[in-house]
Amino acid sequence: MLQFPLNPAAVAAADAVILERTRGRYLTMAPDDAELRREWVRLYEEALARQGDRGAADPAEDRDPADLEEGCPCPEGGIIRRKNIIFIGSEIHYDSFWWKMMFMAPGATAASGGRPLRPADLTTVAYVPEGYTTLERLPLDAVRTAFGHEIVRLASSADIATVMNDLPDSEENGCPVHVRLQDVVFFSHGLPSQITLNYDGNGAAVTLDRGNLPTIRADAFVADGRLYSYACRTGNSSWWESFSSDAEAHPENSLAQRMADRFQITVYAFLTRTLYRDVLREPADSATLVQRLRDQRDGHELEVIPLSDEHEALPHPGLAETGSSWLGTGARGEGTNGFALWRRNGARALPVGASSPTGLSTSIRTFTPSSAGSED
Amino acid sequence: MKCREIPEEAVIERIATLQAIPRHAFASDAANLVHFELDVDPEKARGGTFVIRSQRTGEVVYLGPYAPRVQIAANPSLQDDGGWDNLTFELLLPRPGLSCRWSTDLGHPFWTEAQRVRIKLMAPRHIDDQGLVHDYDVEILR
Repeated sequence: MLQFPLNPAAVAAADAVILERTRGRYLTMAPDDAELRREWVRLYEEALARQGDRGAADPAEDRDPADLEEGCPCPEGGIIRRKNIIFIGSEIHYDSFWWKMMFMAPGATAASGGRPLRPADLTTVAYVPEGYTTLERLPLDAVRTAFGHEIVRLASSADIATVMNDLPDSEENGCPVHVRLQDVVFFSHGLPSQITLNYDGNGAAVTLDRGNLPTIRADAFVADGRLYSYACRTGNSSWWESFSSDAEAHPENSLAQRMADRFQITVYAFLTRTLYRDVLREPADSATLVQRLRDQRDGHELEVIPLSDEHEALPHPGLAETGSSWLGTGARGEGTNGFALWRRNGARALPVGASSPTGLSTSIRTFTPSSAGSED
Repeated sequence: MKCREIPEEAVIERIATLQAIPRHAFASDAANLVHFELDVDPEKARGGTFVIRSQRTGEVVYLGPYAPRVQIAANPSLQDDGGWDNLTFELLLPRPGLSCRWSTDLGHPFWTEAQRVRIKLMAPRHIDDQGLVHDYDVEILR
C-alpha cells in the first residue's frame, strides 16, 4: 500500500524505468495500464527501500559527530513540502461532442502523473463544475481515489487565489514545515492576459488576470517553481488579430510576465490562441467515431457507448442540441448531439499553439522574472 | 447562435446575474458613439432583455430592450489599442422562456469612434478547423 505523500526521489526512480518502457508516455488509470501500474508500485517501493538502506547506513559512515546538530535535524528555513495545482476550466463555449472534455482530459492526465508536472508531495485539482455531468466528473474522482489528491470546486475569481494561497505552515518534530507551490498548470479558455476558467458560463466569472493577481501570495512558489498556461493568449497583452512580430503583442506587459515577476518563477504561456483539437482524438479518426456513435445510439441515449479501444461517448442530455437531423446540419445532423467524447486514457497530447492571431510564434514561450523584479 | 428553451425563473435569474456585472462608464462626448445595427426581428424579441458585454473589460456595455439599432458611447478604456474587443450578445425572453447567446472567438476593432458596425446575429454558427467559434458575422462600416 502506497503511503502519501509520495517520496519524490522514489517517484522519479520508478518513473524513469516505466517511461523508458512506455517511450515517454505516462501511465493512466485505464485498465490497459494495470500491469504497468503494479510494476510502477514495485519499482517505487524498491527505490524507497534503497533510500531506507542508505539512511540506515548513515551512522556507519565516516562522519564527524560535531557536524551533526543534536536535536535539530531541520534544514535551514525548515522543511518544504512541494504542492502542484491543476486548474481545469468549464467548457460551455463550444457546446460540442468533440470539445466538451478538452480541459478535463489533459487535467486528469496531469493529475495522474502525466505532463507537464513534476512529482510533488501534494496535489490539488481545482475545477469549475458548471456544465459537467456526474459522468464527466468521474475522472477527478478516479485521481482522488488513486492518488489521494485534493479536489476543489471553483465558483468565483477569488477562489483561484484561495486555492493558490492554501499553503499552511506546520511543525514536525520541532521543525517548521512550509507548503509551497512547485508546478501549477491551467487547462482553460483564455483571452489576452486573462485565464477565463468559466468562459461563457451562466455563473460568476472565474478569471485570473492582472487585476486580481496581487491577491495571490508573492512567496507562494518554491525557487524553481513553474507555471504553465494552456489558455489562449496568456502571454499576449493586445487584442489585435494580426501582428507583424511577437514584440507587437507586448508580452512584457502580459499576465504571463506579471506572474513570472510576482512569483519569481518560470512561466510557460502562449502568445496565440491554443488548439485542443488533437487532445482527445486523432482528427483522421473523427469520421469513424461519428459512424460508430450513429450506429449504436438508438435506444441507448443515456448509456456510455464504446466507440473504439480508446474512445467512448458519454451521455450528456442537452449538449450540442443544434441543427437538424433532417437537414443534416449542426450536431443533430452529424449525430453527435447529446453525447461528449471521452478517451479512457485521458489526453493523447497536450494542447498546442494555434495559428491565430496571425503573425505570432505558435510555440509555447518561456517567461522568466524580468530585471525590474516583482510587482505588488 | 446558441438558443435554449429554459424556464422563466432561469431567464430571470440570468438577467439578475447580468445586471450584477459592472457597467461600462460611458463617455459623455457624442463623438465617441459607436452605432450597432442588429438583425434579429424586433417582433420576435419583443418583451426581451438584450445584453452586450465586452470580454476585454468584463463590463456590460448595453442592457435593455432589444432594438435593431443601439448606440454606445465608448470611453478611452475601450478605444485604446485600436479599439479591438470580443463582444458577447445575449437575448433573454422570460416568455416563452428563451435564452440566446452569441460569442465569437475572433475580435474586431469595434470601438472606433463614430463608426457603424453591422452584426449579423442570424448567421449560422460554425466552428472552424482551428477551433474558432463563429457565432455572428461583423461588418465594419466606416
